[in-house]
Amino acid sequence: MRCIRYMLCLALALLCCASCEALPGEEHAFAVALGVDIDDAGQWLVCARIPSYQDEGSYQTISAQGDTPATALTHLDARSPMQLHLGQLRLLIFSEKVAQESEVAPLMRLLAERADMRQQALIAVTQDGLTALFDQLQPRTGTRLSKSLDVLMESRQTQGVIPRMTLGTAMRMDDRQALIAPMIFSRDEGFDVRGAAVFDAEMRCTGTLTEAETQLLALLSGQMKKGAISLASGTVDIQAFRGSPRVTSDSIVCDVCVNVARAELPADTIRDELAEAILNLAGKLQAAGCDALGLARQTVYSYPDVTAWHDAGWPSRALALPWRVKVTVQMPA
Amino acid sequence: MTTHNAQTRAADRLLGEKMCRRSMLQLLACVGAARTTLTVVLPLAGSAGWWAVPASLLPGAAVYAILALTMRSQKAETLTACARKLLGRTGEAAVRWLMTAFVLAEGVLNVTALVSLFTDGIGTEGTHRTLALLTLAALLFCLDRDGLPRAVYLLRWITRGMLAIIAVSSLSLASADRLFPILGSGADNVWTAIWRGAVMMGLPPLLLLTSEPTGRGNRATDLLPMVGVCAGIALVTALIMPGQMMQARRALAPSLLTPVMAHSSVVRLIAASLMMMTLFLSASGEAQLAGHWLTNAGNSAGKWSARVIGGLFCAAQFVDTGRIWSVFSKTNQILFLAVLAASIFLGLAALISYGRRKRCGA
Repeated sequence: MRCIRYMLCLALALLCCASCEALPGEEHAFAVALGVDIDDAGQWLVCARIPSYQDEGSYQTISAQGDTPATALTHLDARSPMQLHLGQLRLLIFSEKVAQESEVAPLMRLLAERADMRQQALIAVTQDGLTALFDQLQPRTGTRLSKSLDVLMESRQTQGVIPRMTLGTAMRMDDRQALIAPMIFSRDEGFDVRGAAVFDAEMRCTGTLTEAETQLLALLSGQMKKGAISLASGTVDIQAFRGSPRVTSDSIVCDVCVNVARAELPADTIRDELAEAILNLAGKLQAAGCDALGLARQTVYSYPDVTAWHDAGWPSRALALPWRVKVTVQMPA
Repeated sequence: MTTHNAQTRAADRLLGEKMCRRSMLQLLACVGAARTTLTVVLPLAGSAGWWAVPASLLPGAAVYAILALTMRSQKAETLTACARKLLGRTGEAAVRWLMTAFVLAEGVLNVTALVSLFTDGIGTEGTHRTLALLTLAALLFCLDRDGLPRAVYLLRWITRGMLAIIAVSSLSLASADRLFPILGSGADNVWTAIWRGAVMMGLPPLLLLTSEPTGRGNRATDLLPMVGVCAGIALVTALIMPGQMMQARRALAPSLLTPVMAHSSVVRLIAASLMMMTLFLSASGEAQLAGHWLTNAGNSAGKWSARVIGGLFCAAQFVDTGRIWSVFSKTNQILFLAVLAASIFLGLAALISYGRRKRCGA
């Protein structure tokens, strides 16, 4: 009996190894990045960055156009030198024009419904030309673009300078929270990611946040607990950040406590400048119609059903409430 | 020190066989109820699914309790034996035919779900029909009288392990606010979900009453795996999925994989494998049970009739999937109402019999 159990466990373990065999590396074009753009004539452009398998660390860009995103994707599949596979996708990049002018939700749904799509692919927005950006997508460390992107994104997310936003997370967002995605830029020496694009309830890009604002947002949302942040007069090294915005009947109360590890500024200045920075960020998000912190979700508990919640004015009501900010600073002993 | 002689060995063997049979019946009940949870209750109830699913299980549990108490009062070990004691051979045959019709409908639904998972869920190359034939070949190969329950019994820890992996990997995606508002998209949808769920999830637990007790745990504890699996699926799905997403119209295979839609590909593969394994084992178990009940024999006649029934399950796949799904789902609903009536009738018969005994005693 015990022998049979061991054999079954072994068979199960072997099952886990079966998927690699089914996808021989050089017979599939594993896209590392996928981009979507639209031109002035309304033609959709889809680009994919795939390994060329010729030299170690070399990649090629394939692109296709179509009247609709679905047609462009079908053409991209047909243009690919090997069978296109999105199971290793790291970045899904929307051009700013796509993000501003069309709803991103149906596009993401189209991509998420593909059986081979990697749900953990990060969403990003670019203000640069898609083709130029894709040519700059080369590994910055090592020889694998996928690994290089993983390391870069993880490091930037830890610093809080870009938000964490995967396709899976974005797909599971309902009207209780708005989308926010990292910005990606083309540079002479490669590419860079920093800051964020903010979206309104209809999933249209309505503004951008700087690195410092994105960091502050990361602190308020709990994504970042400690680290160095920039204020108007200098830098503060935060050891612990506690507190997040709370929705009350007539305002949004933001009562935060900051333990400072090292600072070149006095406590009063930190308190005032941090409170002002939070108020500025809140104003910017409200102006953009973006509930990036998911404040509306705090209110669902007191309503019997979604219709009653909507009838009470949520989630848009969260964007109209005034903020009351209180900052407590604890300096190092 | 325990002594092992021929008598104790035979008793141990008998107990082992009973436990294997009970494991198989528990699997059939779990799969039937979980399938209804994923394809009927959650798409209707949305974010209220976490409590609508346990609420849907209540009527079935009540019928189960009535029948279990009736069986206890009649000192009968199985449902059919109880029906024979109270209503004679005709009553026994009626109960047997009702349960046979139920497992036949369940078998067709399970094979349809399995083949849909092959074609639409994991994208296996092949048509619905060729994969139905492949399923038939596998089914014919494994329809052994003792082997199937034993396999189910041995696989129970692997099944639980797979469920645990899915549950643990869901923790990082969970958000408590998704469980609210308590009535989801509206009371009407929730009541419809509970009503339809109750009618479809009422019969699977009754399968547990068709086997003899093992002596380990009582009839109430037999229900726990089914309740746990369904409530767990509903809670995990509600915690990680927004109500709108749960209520979106989907084909059969994607709706069966809704709880793992946002998970990594490894977890999705584990969930698809688990779903396919359990669907296949239950379809096989249902063919075997139906064969056994139809022929009233566990010998080669029962084995061959099980194979014919397995063939019929797969032959049904040559008809349009949507039509099969709707016809056999409705069949299950009608059968539950029939069983509900039968259980009330049995309960009343038991009360009358008890009254007569008391009067005679007095």
